[in-house]
Amino acid sequence: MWEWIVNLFTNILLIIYKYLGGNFGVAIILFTVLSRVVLYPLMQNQIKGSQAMQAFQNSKEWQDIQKKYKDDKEKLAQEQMRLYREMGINPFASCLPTIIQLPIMFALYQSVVRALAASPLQLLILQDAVYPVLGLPDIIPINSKFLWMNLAQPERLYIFGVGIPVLAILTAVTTYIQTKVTTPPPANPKDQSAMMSKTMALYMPFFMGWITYTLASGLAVYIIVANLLGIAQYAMMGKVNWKALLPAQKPEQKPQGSKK
Amino acid sequence: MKTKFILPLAALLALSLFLGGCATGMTPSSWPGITADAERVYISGGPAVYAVNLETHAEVWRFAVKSTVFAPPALTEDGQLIVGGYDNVLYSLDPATGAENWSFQARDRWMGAVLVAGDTIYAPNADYRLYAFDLNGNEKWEKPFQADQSLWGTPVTDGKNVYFGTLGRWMFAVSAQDGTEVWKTELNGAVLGKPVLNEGVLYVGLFDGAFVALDAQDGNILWQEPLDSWVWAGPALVDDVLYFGDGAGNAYAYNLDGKQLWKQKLNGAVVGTPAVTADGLVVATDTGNIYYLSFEGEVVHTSSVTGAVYSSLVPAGTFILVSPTEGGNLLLALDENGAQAWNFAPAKK
Repeated sequence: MWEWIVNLFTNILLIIYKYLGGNFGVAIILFTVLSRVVLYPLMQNQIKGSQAMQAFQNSKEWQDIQKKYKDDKEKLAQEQMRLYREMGINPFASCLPTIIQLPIMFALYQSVVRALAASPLQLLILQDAVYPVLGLPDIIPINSKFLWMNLAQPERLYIFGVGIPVLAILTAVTTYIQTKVTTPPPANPKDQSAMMSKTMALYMPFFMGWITYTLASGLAVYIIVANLLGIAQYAMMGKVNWKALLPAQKPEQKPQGSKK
Repeated sequence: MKTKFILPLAALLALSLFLGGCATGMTPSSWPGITADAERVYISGGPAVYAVNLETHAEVWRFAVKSTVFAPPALTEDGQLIVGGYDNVLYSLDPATGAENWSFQARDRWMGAVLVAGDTIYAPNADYRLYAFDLNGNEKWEKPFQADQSLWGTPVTDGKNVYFGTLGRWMFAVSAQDGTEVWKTELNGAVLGKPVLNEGVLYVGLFDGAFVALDAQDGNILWQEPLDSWVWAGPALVDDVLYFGDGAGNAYAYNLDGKQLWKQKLNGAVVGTPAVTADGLVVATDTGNIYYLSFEGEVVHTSSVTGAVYSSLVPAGTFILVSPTEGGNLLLALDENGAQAWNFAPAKK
């Protein structure tokens, strides 16, 4: 099944490459747009799911339940599930698109490597993977050059002899921006899931930056374009919170009694 | 560490491991290259070049490279073993000890074997360039010849010019003296293997599924024959007959005028060059089948090995040396009947 998906992606990339200009970088960008269009309904569900979850977090009923069962985790979980049912919330709805996008990312990465066939064994594998109608001998060698990059290799832009990983930086920055402007502020920042989200939001840009620093730059092109399209989709729905990019203002300190 | 850190970090670690696994798909990969002399067989076998004694079948030495190495090594008359790796380095090794004599760093991988012609080493690289070195590793030309695309196949020379094909579907002739272009001819398919040069005519198979003959003087195409599938390695030439195989699993014999003498259907794609023995040909396929054919194309007997065979077969005395891919053994020696006489699998170090 996995091979079938990778082969499908490889063929889609090569079809775009063959018929739309013979530029593999452009093929990756168009493939990203295409995958976003296909996943559009799922993304809509994710946005709606996030909104519903935010409404749930802000609801008085949930906050009352949290206070009431703060010492009984099991009961709290039961009540949470009951409230989910009552409010028609699927707690996994907001995760599903992300879960689906990860295999797409993995498969695309393997497809890029497969399509570029930078070694004899890879060319033999590609020969078996490509649909005969595409005519592989007519399109190899695939041009792996895009702007200053070799899409089969990790990217560095050499300025005065210093290799700057421009795409890795752009990946980290766009991942950070996307996470910040599309994640609704939590009702209770001290809630465990909110803190987990915050930690993920902190680490994810570094992680994605590191991935694109070390792997073929074709993957970085995909991630950057996917991030920008994700932000654009939220913006079109009026759901982007640009203020989240500004430095956080400290809430006014309320006098509190000491706790034991 | 608190749970709030552990879970996200675990998720990122899992993602990292998965992508790390994917990254192995990015590692350049090929099949082993084999060369033999009277005493030893040298194998570019992935992480290292191995020398194996042909009598004792024991490893004599191994030379580990930074990345991987697959191009068949080449021996020089003054006793050097030249081999290029996927770490972009061309190495000169001592065939007796594996000690490094000199090395040359290129911009890309060395995919094909170098051609040693007298005191010159012609080295094709994936950086689109053909380099010429003296036996001390010094570049002989003012600058390497830059072609249109990657060079995967070994060149040939008549002493005057050097001839080679590219992935970009061009055949080039450059001056052996200074590396300047003499002629170039556009073909319909990529050239992945080593051409054969015979009496002023170049013979080469193409990846688009054709076999062509070109005039070495001016690059004009003398004849071309469509085949059932792609041709990877160069042909074997014996008594004015060209023998080669294709991706559809056919073994062919053509005379020098482009007339097909016979065609034998085999099981599996033929990637490597057939080995020539006194009795006929030995042809391997990617299904691990080994065919012993007469010069008339009849299957005399067959054998099989575990794993796919992409590498060209190498005769060594009465044995045929086979290097299967993913079969557990780096080298197998088959006797005249196709039975396994001995094997070599490098010990883990």
